[in-house]
Amino acid sequence: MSTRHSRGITRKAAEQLLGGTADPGRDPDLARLLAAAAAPGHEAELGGEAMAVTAFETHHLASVAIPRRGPMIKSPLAKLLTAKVLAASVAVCVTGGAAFAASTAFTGSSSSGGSQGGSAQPTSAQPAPSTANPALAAGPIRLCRRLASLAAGATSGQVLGQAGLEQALSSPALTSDLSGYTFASLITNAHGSDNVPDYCALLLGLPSLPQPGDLAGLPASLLAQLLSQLPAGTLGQVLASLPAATLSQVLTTLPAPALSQVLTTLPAAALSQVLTTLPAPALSQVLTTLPAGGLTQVLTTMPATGLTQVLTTLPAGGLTSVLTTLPATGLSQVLTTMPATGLTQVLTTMPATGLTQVLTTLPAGGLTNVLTTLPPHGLARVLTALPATGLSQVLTTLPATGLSQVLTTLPAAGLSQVLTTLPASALSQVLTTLPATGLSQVLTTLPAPALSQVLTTLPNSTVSSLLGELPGSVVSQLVGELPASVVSGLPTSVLSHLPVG
Amino acid sequence: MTHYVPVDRSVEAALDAVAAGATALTAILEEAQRGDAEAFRALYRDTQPRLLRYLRALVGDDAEDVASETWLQISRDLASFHGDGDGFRGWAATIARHRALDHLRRNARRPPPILVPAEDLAGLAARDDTAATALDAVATDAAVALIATLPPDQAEAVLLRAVIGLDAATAATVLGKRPGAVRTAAYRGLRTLARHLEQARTRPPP
Repeated sequence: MSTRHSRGITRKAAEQLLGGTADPGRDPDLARLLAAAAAPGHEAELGGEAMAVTAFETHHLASVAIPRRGPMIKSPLAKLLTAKVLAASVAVCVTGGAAFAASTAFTGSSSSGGSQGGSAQPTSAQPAPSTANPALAAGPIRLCRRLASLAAGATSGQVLGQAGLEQALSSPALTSDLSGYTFASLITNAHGSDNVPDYCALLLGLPSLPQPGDLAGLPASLLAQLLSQLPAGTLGQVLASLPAATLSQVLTTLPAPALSQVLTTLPAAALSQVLTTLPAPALSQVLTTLPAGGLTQVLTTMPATGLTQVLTTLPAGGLTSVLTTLPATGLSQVLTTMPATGLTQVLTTMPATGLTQVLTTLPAGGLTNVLTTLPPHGLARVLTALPATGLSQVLTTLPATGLSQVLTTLPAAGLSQVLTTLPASALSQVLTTLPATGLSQVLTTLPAPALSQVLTTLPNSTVSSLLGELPGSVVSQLVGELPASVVSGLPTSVLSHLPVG
Repeated sequence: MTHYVPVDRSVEAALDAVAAGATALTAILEEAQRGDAEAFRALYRDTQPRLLRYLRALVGDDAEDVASETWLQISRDLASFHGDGDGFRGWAATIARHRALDHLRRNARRPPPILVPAEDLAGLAARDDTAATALDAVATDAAVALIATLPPDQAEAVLLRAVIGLDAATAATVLGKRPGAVRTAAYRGLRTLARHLEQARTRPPP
């Protein structure tokens, strides 16, 4: 047994070792042990950095009150972000800087005197995201600017303008500049170095992306944040620059709140361009993902042509889902904005149940407007597609003039089918609502078999009062078409009014 | 020797500043509390290795999981933290300790003791170059493992003081004890460690 430490360590020496004020020559073994225990961080100890920083950014975003971004940042998203970052194979390779301020007071990081990393602040004259959220953007924005300056070979202190930044981010030199660990956090954030140019362009608020076709490579959660903070004009330019496939991929991967925010931020023309660029399946997915409020705002913002193109592109299922999601006023506004042909195509594409739900949701004014906009055959197809109850509800909702216009627009076959489909009570209500001229036209349009069926369906009192409103010549014409069996069943009051002969 | 990789200069500069003193750590802490992610990154790089080594003594191989939980809580609550750089390290250590105790309660057991390979310990004791020892990851693991063999109160006291860098009063707050009790525990721990090292030095090579 050595006698080197036979006296043992004193309380005072222990306190000095722990407080970093020990004489280096005293208790060298313990000093080495404590120095080793408190050595600067090793790479393997910092594996959770990306997750921690992402969690920090997420929590900070959640605590900063930015209403337009609010709904996106919820705990489930934070979990998702964390999981995604954990799953990402891009490792952050950092180490060496963790300072050790304990007993032996030495560090593994060299103090590079010329490093002015934090000095390249964005200037207010430069394009920048509209909501300069420091947690999301301050560090990465600085890094992106530094990367662009490197790629552009800019001299120290030179600030690149929008065109310079765009050119630099598109430069082939960017790849080699990215290879150092300086930009490791950008690569991590963007899920790969290939995505960094677009990531930086969006962070810097540039309307022209270096690689628009690759935008979908950015993780959805990041895209959601980046797109949500762009000003409307820039957002429109960015989305309009995307090829259809990329645009589809981007919009269909955004979570619903972000998608809603992005689409409702776009000005009408840009919105129209974006949605009409999407192929049918993507369009359907995008519109059916939107919550009712966002969907209403999007569809009622669009000009008639864009709206028509969008709705007539949707497959039956998507169209039904979209229209039945809209609240009554929104639905009314959307359908009454459309021209006759588009409206016909839309209403005749839907299956009966969806069509019924849509028409019975409309308020009386909107319903009248929609049905009276349809051309005769379109109207016939729509009304004859409805089941009896839906048809009853639709026709009895219409005010007298609207009802008259609708029924007198229908061609004879359609009119026959409509009136003979109605149950007796609805048929009574419909016909007694019609003003005399409309009633005359409706009944004289009906071919004899349908007229017979209508008159024999109605109770005698109703037939009496209906026909009693009509001029004798019309009644005479009607009765003249009926078979004897039906005529004999007519109320005597009707027959007594007929002209003799 | 551990391979060192260059880091982002702004973070590196911030860490150099941390090394320069607690005032700089306080400044970085304030930046992070205002939402600067790069400042938060610097805080992480400064504090995470310390926490991880402390946790290794408490929960063994589960230290990284508990450290992740700790950072999730730090990132969530950082804005509401009041205090300076030193206070931050104490706060972080308190959170780490609570998470570790939760973890132990969940698992209803103490972790198996960390075994220190005899040759690592001998290497630690035989080194003449203190600086080289401290840059050696193997030496760090061996040192932390050796400290973890102490009775828990002594191991915690030594790690909080020497690794996390807390003074006796702050360490006492973390442990819920009086500063005198922490000084005594740390002293006893160092005395035991010195004895182990001496034995390792004098043990004949295998």
